[in-house]
Amino acid sequence: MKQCFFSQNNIKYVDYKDIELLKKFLNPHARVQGKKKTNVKARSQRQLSEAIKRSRFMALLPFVAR
Amino acid sequence: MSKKAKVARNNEEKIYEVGYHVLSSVSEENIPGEVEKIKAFLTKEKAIIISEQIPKLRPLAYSIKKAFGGTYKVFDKAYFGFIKFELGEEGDVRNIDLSMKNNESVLRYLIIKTVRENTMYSPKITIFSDKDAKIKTLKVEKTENDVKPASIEEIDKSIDALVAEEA
Repeated sequence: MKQCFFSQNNIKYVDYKDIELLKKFLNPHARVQGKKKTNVKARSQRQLSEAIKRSRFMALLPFVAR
Repeated sequence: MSKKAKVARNNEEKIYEVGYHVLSSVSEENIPGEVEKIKAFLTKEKAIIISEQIPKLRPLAYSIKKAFGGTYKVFDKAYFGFIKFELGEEGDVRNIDLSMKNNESVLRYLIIKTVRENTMYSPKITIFSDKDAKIKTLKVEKTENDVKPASIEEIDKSIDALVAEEA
């Protein structure tokens, strides 16, 4: 059983500026991966999607790719 | 929300972070001036600056249009920087929001509510204005690294970083 990435690394707040981290949770089309795929706990998944959306607005991540 | 929760919220520290893109048409030597402008607005609202990043030119993930008196100009690059600050009782974020909106040389900005601690996982990008703060956070990171067991992914990542530095 795979464990939550954020719990393992003791990350309590997901930052929208942390692009390298957020990119791990995007698929090749730059869509957010589902919780089944990310294996992230519910709270972190919510923070993650929020962070990705903020990052997209600030043009740090794309809305669509390819 | 119950009354109790509301009271607790009011007692919370008001810590915000403003991230912004300065237009790429602004020349490199004028960037500190732009940062000073933003900081002037912050100090007007009696904000205490916690940390900041000096704007750095970076490509945007998509091009952004901005209107200049009837004509659009398209930007593919911008200087991205951020300032984390604390507001006192009398400070109001709405005024800061307005001042950012009216700032001609800011392409896009985002104000979020955050926490005092450093929220970045990959610590390369953050630059602190306060030298002592930098030392403190670095120490904390080190102790954390000692405690947690390194996974294969992390080891790979650190090796990649070392290789990239040498090359």
